[in-house]
Amino acid sequence: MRKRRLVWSGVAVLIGLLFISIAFDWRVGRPRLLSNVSVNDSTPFGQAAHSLPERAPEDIPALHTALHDQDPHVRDEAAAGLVEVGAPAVPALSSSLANPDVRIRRAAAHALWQMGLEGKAAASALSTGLKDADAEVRRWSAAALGAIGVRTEEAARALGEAVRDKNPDVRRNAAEALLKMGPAAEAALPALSETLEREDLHVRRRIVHFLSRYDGPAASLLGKALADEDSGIRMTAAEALARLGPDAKEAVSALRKALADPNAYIRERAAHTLKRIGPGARSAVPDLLGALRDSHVEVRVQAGLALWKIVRRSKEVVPVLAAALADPDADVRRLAVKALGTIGPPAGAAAPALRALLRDKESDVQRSAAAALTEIHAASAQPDEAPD
Amino acid sequence: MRYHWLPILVIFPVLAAAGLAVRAWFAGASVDNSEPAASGGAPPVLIPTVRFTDITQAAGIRFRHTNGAFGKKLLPETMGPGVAFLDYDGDGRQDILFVNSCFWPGHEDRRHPAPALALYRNKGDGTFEDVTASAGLAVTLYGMGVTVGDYDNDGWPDVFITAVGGNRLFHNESSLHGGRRFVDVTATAGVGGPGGWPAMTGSDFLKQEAPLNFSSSAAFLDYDGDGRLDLFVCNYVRWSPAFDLSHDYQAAGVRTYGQPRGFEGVHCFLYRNLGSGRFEDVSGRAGIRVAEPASGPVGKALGVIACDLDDDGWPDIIVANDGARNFLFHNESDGQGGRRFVEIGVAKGVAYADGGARAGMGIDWGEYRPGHGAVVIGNFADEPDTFLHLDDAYELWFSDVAATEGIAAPSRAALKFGVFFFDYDLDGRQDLLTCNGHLASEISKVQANQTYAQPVQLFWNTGARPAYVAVQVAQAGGDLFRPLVGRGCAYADINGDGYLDLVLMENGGPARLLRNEGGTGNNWIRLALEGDGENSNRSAIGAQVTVDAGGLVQRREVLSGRGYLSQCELPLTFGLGRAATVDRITIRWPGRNAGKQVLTGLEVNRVHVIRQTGE
Repeated sequence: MRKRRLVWSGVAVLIGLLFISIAFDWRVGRPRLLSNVSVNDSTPFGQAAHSLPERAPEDIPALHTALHDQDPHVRDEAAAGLVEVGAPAVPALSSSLANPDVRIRRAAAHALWQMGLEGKAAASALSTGLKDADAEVRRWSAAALGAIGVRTEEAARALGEAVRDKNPDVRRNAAEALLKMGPAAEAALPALSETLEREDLHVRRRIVHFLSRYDGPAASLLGKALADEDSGIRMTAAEALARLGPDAKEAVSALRKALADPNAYIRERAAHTLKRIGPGARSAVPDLLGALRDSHVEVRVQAGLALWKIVRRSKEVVPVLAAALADPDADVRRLAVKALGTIGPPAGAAAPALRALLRDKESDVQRSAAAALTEIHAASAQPDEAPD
Repeated sequence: MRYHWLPILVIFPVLAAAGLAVRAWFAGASVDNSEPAASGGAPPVLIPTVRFTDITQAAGIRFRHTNGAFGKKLLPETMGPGVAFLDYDGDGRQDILFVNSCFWPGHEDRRHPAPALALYRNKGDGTFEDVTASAGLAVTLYGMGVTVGDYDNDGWPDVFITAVGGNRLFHNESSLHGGRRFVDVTATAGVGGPGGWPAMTGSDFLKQEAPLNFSSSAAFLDYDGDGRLDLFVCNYVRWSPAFDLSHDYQAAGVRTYGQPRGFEGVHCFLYRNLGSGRFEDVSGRAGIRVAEPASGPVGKALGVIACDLDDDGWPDIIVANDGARNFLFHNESDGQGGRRFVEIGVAKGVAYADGGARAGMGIDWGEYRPGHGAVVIGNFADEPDTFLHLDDAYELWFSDVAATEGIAAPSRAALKFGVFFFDYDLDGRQDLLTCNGHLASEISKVQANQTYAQPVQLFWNTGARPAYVAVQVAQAGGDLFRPLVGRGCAYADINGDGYLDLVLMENGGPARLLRNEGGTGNNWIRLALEGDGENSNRSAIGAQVTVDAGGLVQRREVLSGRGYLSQCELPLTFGLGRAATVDRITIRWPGRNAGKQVLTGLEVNRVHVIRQTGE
């Protein structure tokens, strides 16, 4: 009987404990990490539905504690929670970058990368993270510096060193972070130049891709890429230099060499860029004169235009452009017509060929030819040769 | 004595129950405190009060869509229409072009004038006037969508209308009276698509087995960088009246509209602009035809967005397909100076969601967090919006973050068509709107959670995580959420106050114009870009603009053909929040020969016309 009583008492205690644990959440004392998303489907279409940010600054201590949990899932959830909190969580994450446990440092660096611009205050800690013994920490620190939009000298200097890191992922992330910094990264660009020499094809392609949209003085680096063994990289660099236009002056030497590139499109882009640089590309004149005999008419036309823009050499240029007026490609005829119109009176020798184009099958070639003839027959004659 | 343990058995559960009650009370208090916009101790999310007022009648808009439905439930009837904001007469004010469908052959309503496109000119005093006839657009066709761009670089926006039975290109020309009028140049341009509208009686029409071209959304883009706008056209399914009627689609015991899986897919069109007003169909050699060996064309395209996803200066294309995988066409060099597209949607995470193809409708692209772009796709009922975050701009890796960004749950139930990013409160963060409505008028009889007319959904960008919360009637007013059978939608600033106004299109019903009442006190700047017509297209479609103001950097792209069947205004609006000055504006003009332009010192709270400068 006594035994039976004890069994029932035990059952009662267990049931009670079970209910109590449910009532007060058996995880009391541990941070509650699962999101408590508030969704109010008061209409079938969720018009009134809310899904609100769940994390607040007061959650930071618990989340920070959980970041040190042995369970990787808890750590991941804590990191996600800190990302959700945003800027107020940056000090906690920054301090975790100095934690002796490499797993915590990794989680912190990754979280700061995820945080993006809100993590701006972590710039200094992340710069230190670039020197971490662990490659993953360095890698995510580099990526985070790119993501938080920092533009300080300290970060640029640290990233400049990181592009020489022994780990290729660190180097790549550091290079991309630098290119996101814009002009602030100028001092670190020589390090990027080295990167372009030694990285594998995939990394070089990535770097040149970001370099092509770099918001700073990129001409010399793009010029270097113009000599890459990979034609895709050369093409990206050629297109980027063409977009830079007059700002590509530092790449004149590379552009001269590119006029002999095996790929006709790269040669055409090089001539086009030299044209946009104008008189500052005077050293390219011999190469451009050679390009007037290129096997591709687009290269010849662009080289002719470049020569006119740089030294006003109509004597060599006009015959090349006049010949292009008979090209079967309407785009080439259109370009040659406009080029001759730009040259104006010194292109008088091309007037008969231009008149023939007044009956071109393309109406806009006709219109352009009429406009060019007007320019050529303008009363104010210009000197045939520009003074050297 | 034998029951002396009973109190223990009773007390513990009672204590536990008390604990539960206390917990429930606290939980309840937490929920109460979350209204209107806080929960779980989180700081309240203060969604601004920005009301939208229905001004359709007051503005003089009388457009009503005709879908020609006469009981046979032919699929095109339930798919349109779209709408466009454009400044057709160059007065700096956004006008509205409504796309209309028409009656099917043999079922015309002779009591009323034939349905036609409708152009409403913005008079600048809050009202619009119907100028359809004088503008040459009193054209009857089975119209679906519209896109706007200056394809001949003459400085005036032209109009491309997609339709069932032949698309149309209208050139914007000077009229005899000094105004503007549109001239149908479809035949010369070569962009009408195959076949045409059948000239036959009603009974013959319903027996027609030869497919009618069924185009949906379209977008202008300069894919080859030559400074001329090319044209991408979505085609929906291989459709003919006889084939449609041969399938007995049923809902609640009556015939309903067919599902896309009942129809074969078709290829989209890409037309390259040759200049001189002519286009060439380059769909095959440019790589936009996607087919499976066994089943033929994959695409059932309803939405398209052309944008520079990888920021390499060349526009890429994403196509939303209905019941088929979405396409991501990456613009690549052909190695010889030309361009071609390579379809990489599956590899990059764009094609499928949750392991399968969704029913994609409208689509848009935008920067929703500083430095973070996303593609949003409106999907069918009981499918959430797809929200594809661009994880890596070089690799073009996308992840669907609809759930974590607060969009999935609220958007699941509705049937979404039109969708676009826009900053309606001018706080510098792009919000999101979807225009919703079901296909079947009898849907509520078979699905309790569905109605034919549905409210739009407006998501406010929190600037935090998750990025979006659904806006309520209390914050935006009841007019915005009045249910409609929504399809296309578009935005523009129609009254020059900087706040973006809305037009919503209803299938078989009246269009709605909603004025954004603003009132946030935020500053703004509007930029109307004009390319030079040589290196860049005059509409500046594809231009990327970066605005640096108040420590916030925002980037936008001039986009054509956004959302579903529709076109938002081309000028860009940047909300500046409390920033009273703009530090720097950088414009990357489109086209392979175009450079960038940097502007400083531009005054806020006004529109600036920026013309491309260069060599």
